[in-house]
Amino acid sequence: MTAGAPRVRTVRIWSAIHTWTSLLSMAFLLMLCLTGLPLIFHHEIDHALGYEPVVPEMPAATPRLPLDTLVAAAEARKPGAVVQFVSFDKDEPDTVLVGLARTLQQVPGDHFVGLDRRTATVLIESRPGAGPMGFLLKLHTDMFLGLPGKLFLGVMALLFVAAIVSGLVLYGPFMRKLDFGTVRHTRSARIRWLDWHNLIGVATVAWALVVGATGTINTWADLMLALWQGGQLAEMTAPYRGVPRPQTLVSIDTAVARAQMAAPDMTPRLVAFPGTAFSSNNHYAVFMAGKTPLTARLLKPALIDAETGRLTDMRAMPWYVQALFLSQPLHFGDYGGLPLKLVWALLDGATIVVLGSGIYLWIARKRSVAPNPASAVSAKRSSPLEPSA
Amino acid sequence: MMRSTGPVRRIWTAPALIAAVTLGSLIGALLTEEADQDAIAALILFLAFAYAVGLGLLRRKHSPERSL
Repeated sequence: MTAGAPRVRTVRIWSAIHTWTSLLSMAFLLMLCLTGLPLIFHHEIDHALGYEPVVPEMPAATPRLPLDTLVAAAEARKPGAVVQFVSFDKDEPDTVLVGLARTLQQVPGDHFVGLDRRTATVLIESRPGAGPMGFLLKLHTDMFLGLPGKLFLGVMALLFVAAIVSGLVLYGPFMRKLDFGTVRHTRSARIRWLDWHNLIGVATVAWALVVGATGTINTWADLMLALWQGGQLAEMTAPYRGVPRPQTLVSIDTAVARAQMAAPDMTPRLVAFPGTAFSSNNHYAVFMAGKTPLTARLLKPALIDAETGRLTDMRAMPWYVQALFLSQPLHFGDYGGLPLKLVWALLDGATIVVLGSGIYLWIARKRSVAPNPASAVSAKRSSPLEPSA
Repeated sequence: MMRSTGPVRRIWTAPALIAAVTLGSLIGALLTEEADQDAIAALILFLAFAYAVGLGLLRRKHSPERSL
């Protein structure tokens, strides 16, 4: 036995891991890359297709109407429905989105009304998953299969991460005699594509790991929120357990003002109404966010007694929910301006090339092994560092 | 016996630099609010990728046979 035998065996194992993790997840990864591409530009596309509100120009000092007036205007659009939440867009401070549904506990809600905060004019009416971007997002996140679809795609994302790590382990032995960036253009198509596969793969490895890992975290969103509801939220609302929902609620403006008083350096991002999944029967949950680019993504719920308007509790959300909030922009790449989105699309395209070339290399290797017994023997004796995917 | 760090350095320096630049750009863009700083992060990210692809397109004369 030669001294290199254990090393060869190790490389064979990593090569098998790379092959099978790639092959098992390939079809889904291609779907995710292809649907993810337009989703990078979902704001621009939604805006162009009329799925985002167009906010009319008005003087900067135009006063805003009370939130209760806006909520009443939204309710009037959908008689019989109940308001579940009011959300605020940090990029469009003159708009508000009101979520309605048939019941308070229904998840997700089935009707959104976007209003101008200065005039109570309805700017847009929509439902979850509306439009081409809504369709693509649903396909991208759960393939229309709900939680099982999400968790399945999470497993695919984990396989993707395993494929990247194993590919990185194999990269060193592959490149022992090649300079970085070498593509052997004079060799066969398979060798050429192998070199491109390795080069583009290693050049995009950090980005792909970030997108793969954050994608996995995003698939656990429902579980994390359920964990938060059953843990921290239940603990915060424990003194009110079993107490029925008040007949008369304090004004939503009072609830928001009280939360703002408790956290003057933060702004409200979402108000969950009493009786909904993100609050209790007896509280408005006002989710506050910071003002810096980082803290603007981290929510802190303030629970306001819906009967008295008193602040009963306010805590930072657990670390796993914070990790989820931070992972979302890093996955979709929609947190920057157009230049960053274009680079994100370029790297997404590069990942499609890596996936496609991987499939090609696997098929080409299979073909080279198949024809006759002699070539099969020679293939078996060939270097374990030859690519298999 | 000490292993030579030469090949390791030769193989991994460029990929490690590209990975570091990529992560720095992604996190920098997340932490910044200014559009021009965001655009600079995007430009750096693009240049790192373009450098690798450019090498692949240009470095075509050295085609050594592998004898692994």
